[in-house]
Amino acid sequence: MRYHYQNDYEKLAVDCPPKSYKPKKILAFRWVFENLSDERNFQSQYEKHMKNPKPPKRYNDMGDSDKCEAMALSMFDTLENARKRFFFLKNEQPLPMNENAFRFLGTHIARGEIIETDGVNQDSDRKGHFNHHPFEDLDYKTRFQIVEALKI
Amino acid sequence: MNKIKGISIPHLGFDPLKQGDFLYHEGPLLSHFIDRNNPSDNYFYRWVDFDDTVNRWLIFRLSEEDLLLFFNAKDTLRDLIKQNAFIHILDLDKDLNKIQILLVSINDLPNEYLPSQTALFDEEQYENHALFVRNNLLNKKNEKAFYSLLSEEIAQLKEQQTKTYSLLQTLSGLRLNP
Repeated sequence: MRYHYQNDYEKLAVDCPPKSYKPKKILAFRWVFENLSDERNFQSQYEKHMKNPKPPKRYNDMGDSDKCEAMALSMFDTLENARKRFFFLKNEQPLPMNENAFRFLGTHIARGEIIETDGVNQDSDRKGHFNHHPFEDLDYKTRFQIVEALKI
Repeated sequence: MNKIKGISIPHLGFDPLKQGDFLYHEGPLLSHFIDRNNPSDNYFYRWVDFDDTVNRWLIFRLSEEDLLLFFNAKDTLRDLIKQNAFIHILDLDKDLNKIQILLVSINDLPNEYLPSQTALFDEEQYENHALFVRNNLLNKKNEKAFYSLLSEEIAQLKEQQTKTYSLLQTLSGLRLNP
């Protein structure tokens, strides 16, 4: 199976996706915009910045690990963890994130099942967040459904 | 992007070496650096603003004691940043070119560039690097306390040894001159 960003991974000097990432079946939650067909919903940060470079990608050190991470899709393992992290970033973190949370991060939470043939996944961290590196030709917008509005 | 009153300077005044991120979501939000020339000097880059060409970082220094206060949730990051008389503002473009460096009095920093008054360290939401730094600092503090206690005990033992030796000398003198 080829990864969605296979050609870009090959330009990096690190293992991308990292070797510890594994295929698995997992219920996943992701911040999205209300219309599931919105192209931003299942684009990685890397792809978003390739298509729209303004504002510039937020780096303060240029390592290939950061670039690899930018090619993953951010997911959460529970609805509660997805909600909690969103409002932590929106309410307690730097002003640009606070003011632009609904513009940058999303307005809703969608739920979908990721299966072994979709790609590889990082283990969830303490925040319940994990990165998912997708294989090519997957149509997530038909596999995820909106379950909650973040913006009321 | 906010206009900032400050003095434009050509260099940061330290040679930054990134150690990791304290807060991260699809890019760093709060990052930890040290000075390559003085590795015990800890600097933090906090994302505070952006426009179409740059991201703006607020750079401040924290001592190890400050960091422990932060990790123990005794002081907010806001309070600790405000202890600095001056901070740096750094504008970086997408290729990490330094477009502008400003030295800014803490009194001229826009209030919205500071963290909220209630934002305390939250172990669950911070990255592993923050926990790694906290554990290292706690170990260092415990090690210091242990060595301080040990050296006190050694000093006491030495004092007791001197007294015992002196007593033995006195006793031995008494035996020689009954």
